[in-house]
Amino acid sequence: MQIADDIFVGADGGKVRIIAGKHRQTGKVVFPRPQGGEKEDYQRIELPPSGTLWTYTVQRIPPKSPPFVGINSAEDYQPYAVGYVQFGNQVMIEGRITGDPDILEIGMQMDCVSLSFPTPEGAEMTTYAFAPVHESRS
Amino acid sequence: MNDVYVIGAGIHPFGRHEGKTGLDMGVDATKLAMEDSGIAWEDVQAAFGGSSASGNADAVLPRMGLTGIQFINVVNGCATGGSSVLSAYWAIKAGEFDTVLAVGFDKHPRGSFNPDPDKYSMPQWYGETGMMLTTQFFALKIQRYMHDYGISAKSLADVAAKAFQNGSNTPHAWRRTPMDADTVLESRMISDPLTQYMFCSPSEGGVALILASEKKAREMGRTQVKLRTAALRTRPENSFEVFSPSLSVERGETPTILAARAAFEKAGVGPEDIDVAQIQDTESGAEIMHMAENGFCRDGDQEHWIAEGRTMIGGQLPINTDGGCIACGEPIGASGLRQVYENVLQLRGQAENRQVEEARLAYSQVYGAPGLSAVTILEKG
Repeated sequence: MQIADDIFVGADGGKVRIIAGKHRQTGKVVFPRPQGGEKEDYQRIELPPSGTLWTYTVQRIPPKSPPFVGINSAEDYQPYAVGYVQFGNQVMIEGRITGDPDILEIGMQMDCVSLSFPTPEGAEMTTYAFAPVHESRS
Repeated sequence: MNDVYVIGAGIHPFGRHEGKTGLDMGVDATKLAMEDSGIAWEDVQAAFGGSSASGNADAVLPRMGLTGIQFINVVNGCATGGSSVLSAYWAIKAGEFDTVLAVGFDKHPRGSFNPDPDKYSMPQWYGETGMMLTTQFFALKIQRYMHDYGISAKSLADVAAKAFQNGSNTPHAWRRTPMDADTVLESRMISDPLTQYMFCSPSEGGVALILASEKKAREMGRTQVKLRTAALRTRPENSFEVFSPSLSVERGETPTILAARAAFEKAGVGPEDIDVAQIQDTESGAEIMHMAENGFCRDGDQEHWIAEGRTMIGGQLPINTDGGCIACGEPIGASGLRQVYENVLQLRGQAENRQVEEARLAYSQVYGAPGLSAVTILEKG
């Protein structure tokens, strides 16, 4: 199940494009695209398929639920990396990072990919994520 | 314009207190502050208070006495305590009141905070995918800062070791056992590069301050500590704040930079004039970044400041002399008030074996989600 239907497209093919909003007057790009009263002020755009890792960390301990919907029991929890990826001069996006967190370095090229993770109820949640270019393309 | 004085200060020790509610601790602190000030509860004209997890702070009223006092509940994230002091300061400065109470208390469950996305106008998926954690934000920010300015993991550990050293000398601190930097470095990694003992933990405690006009302070013979100024600022464009699914590419100023600048301008003093400072140390990286954001040093200078011990008691600018959030933990409603409480002790010369010699100007800065900072400057009267 896709975690939200208006934040990325293309999960089926593995590579995804993140959907952002570009302000019609100022050109400022924000993510997610604003909803409600200011929705029409922002044009829907798709970000480029790759960018540069600006900073990252690793969530070594399980997040509390709610709000986290993944598996967070002490025995089965899998740590994951999170980072900001910069897309040219447009915007930086925060997202989970797939694969081995210990190889990450600031400045790495990152592809936008999809990431599926299981919930304790046995469902599968799919979201956008980033992967180091050499990993996602090998 | 009316000058403002801190005429009373009371604290309930921070930590874990089985069998006691957050409210109990707020009431205890209020009674101690009243006693310290010498004024009677009936003479308190207005109050500002906050609690994040222990109900509305005005619940102290039935316990203190239902005098009909004007009480305003303050909600401003981790900067709630700083916001209560600021409100009390404004009220006296405006000439409306002579005696105002600022109170804060809290009692949080163990473990990290788990904020509700709705409360911050964030989409649910942001929390559901495991990105809405304050610990992650601090790690992401310091990771980049270390890369840009050459700060080492050793410095992160040294900041925590200093906090535990100072905490060991502080009766109101939670963690009172010294811990060396190697133990801090080798403790469990929580969110790279930050380990378990580099983080503060949500805790329990209460603090109350009685602020008074100059007239009242003189009448009571309590002019030892003057509140020179207080200022609060929220996030400007392009600052890197907690709970941000996207950031602009340009990095701008932060709420702390703005609040510090405003406070120094209003007080007519500079960072070099400050003798002791309590600054937000949600984790040791925050203390390092806030040293620069508050104007005490340039970005990157922290590395040699810390190596030389300049922020230790006895150094050029002792920082977080009571162990800060790292040793005291963080009861949200009380945290910013604790900083001011510690500065009051320092200026009165009552800080015992953590006393900063000849402290005349004392600074405090508290930072909270979703991006605001509150600063006070106290002066020895």
